[in-house]
Amino acid sequence: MADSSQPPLLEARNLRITFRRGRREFAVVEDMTFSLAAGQTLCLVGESGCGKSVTGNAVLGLLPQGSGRVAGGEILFAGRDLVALSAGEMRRIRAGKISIIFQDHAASLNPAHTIGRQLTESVRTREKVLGRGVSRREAYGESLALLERMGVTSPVWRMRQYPHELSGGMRQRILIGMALAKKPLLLIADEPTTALDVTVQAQILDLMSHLRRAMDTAILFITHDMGVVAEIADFVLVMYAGQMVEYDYAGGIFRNPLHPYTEGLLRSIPQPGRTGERLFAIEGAVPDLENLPPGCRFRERCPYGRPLCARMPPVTQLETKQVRCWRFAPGGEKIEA
Amino acid sequence: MDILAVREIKKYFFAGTGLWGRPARAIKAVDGVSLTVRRGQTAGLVGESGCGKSTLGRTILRLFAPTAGRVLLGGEDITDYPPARLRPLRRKMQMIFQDPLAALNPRLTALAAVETPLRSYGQGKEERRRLAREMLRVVGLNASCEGKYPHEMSGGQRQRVVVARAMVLEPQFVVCDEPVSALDVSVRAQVLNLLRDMGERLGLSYLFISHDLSVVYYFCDWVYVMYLGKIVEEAAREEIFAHPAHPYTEALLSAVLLPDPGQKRVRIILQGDLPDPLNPPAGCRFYSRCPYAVPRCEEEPPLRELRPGHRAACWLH
Repeated sequence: MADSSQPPLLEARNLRITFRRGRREFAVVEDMTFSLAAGQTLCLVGESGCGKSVTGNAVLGLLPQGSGRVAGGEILFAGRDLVALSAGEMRRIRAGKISIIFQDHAASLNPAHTIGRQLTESVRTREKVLGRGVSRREAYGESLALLERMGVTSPVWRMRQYPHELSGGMRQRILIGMALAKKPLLLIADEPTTALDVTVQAQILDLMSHLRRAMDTAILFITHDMGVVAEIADFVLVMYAGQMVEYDYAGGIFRNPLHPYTEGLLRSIPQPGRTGERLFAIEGAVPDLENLPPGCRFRERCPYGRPLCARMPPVTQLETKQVRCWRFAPGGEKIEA
Repeated sequence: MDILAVREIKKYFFAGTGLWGRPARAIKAVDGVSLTVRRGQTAGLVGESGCGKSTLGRTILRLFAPTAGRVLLGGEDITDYPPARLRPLRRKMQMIFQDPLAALNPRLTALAAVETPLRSYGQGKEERRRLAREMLRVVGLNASCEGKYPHEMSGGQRQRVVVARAMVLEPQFVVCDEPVSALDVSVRAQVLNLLRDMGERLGLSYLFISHDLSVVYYFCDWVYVMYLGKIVEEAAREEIFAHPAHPYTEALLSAVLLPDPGQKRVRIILQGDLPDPLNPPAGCRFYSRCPYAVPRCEEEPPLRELRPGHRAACWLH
């Protein structure tokens, strides 16, 4: 459903990711197809365990070694299949083209080293992988400039501080700075504001959209928060239990949600100005990925469930939107009859 | 009639014992807070992490001993009660925590977890079991969940067990500390509805601690906004959302992201972070981040009534 005016920078085609537990191998992501062009933001939305982070990690080859693997499909980055890359080639991609930031800003920094040491080291490692050399002094200068650009106050002093001496917002700003220092073509942001306070979240989102405009970076933004999605997304892909259930322009998702899960998700969010007696709630819980029921994965929680849903619904294209639901599948009515 | 009244309560923590007998530095986590919760109503306590809202919740329930001030539960001053006298009162006041996995004993099944608090209050084994079963049904957990351990349950189920455990004693007053923050979006609404239903069923009063204003708007009758250990604004729900008076409340409200991309509003983006509570700024504590700061703010503004029931601590008003 990509914007056809621009060639996609990142494209996933029929992506299937499996995890192994003991001897059993089960799919955590199935049949995922999406694309993202330069300067655009695609949000992967869903609940914990729906496969959104795994999808982001798979792009950078960061699946847990030994248990997780891309079992099918391809991930194309500027036309190259990332799945087929050697470890060395992937390192060069990570060093120069694609960055990732995680939710847990405390775990992403080494507690035993100063911010300055970590920043300069990351600059030097990157240059080394890319086959260029850079002196300590140059790396220090670049790091300092980066802190300034991120709006970090008194950067010279911050360079001498340890991660625990900084607030969460400050740490996340530094990580975003590190991720964007190399001017990546693609940024994968995995719940970057979830652990932050609302006022700090507003600062970080503001910073990200500012940097995106300045650098034309494409962003794959992973979140569960529909408010954040409304703020930054150009396109939205809603995931449920390892599958895409709805994929559209942001406006199409919010104004005309078709999949019952998207609809329920939007209706269940309390909104200032709307104090109904009860909130709309999607009953039940997400199915276990190791023991999925056959057919539509949302069937047991769906208010529109019907016998046909015992079969896996196909993905239907409706103008700009893709939706995986029998209610919108052409001929769905007939098959049922 | 107020179920809870807190008067000028303070809770200081001391950062280490001073070197060579120097006095230790005090972290003034809660610094002179007064609030009331009316019977059958829900008061919301909003603020960012580190503002002291959880400490306040725990001090009210006497999980921490207050440094100063009074706590009145149903008109009874419980501030100086020794543990033995508090025990019968603990039945009336319960707490629901943010992280159900941390709040539940991993070695107790759902049924045992709900049964345990009853042990302190003299029911027989059969009776305890019956009450616990009944409460599990009320919170929407069926018989197949009774024997499950926390790790075998989903996040939503665990939080239902935590709710059941608090409610089985039929409390009058419950402190909910970020009860839905750790839950998935689709489960959040289920738990909020459950809390609301339980409130009506038992005639409960809640103190609802949260950083999420949209949840507070849905759930609370009265709202207190806390910043760095102090209440900076309080008002009825409709009033505070329609006419926020304190710049901090205004910024918090403008930072709420609505699931509607068309609704682009002017967003007030605060600079910087919450100041270090060890060295709070002199004068107005919000001074360093306030977009409207004027010289007078170097003097601390009192909490003043602007309209009946609506109070704010800001020189602008």
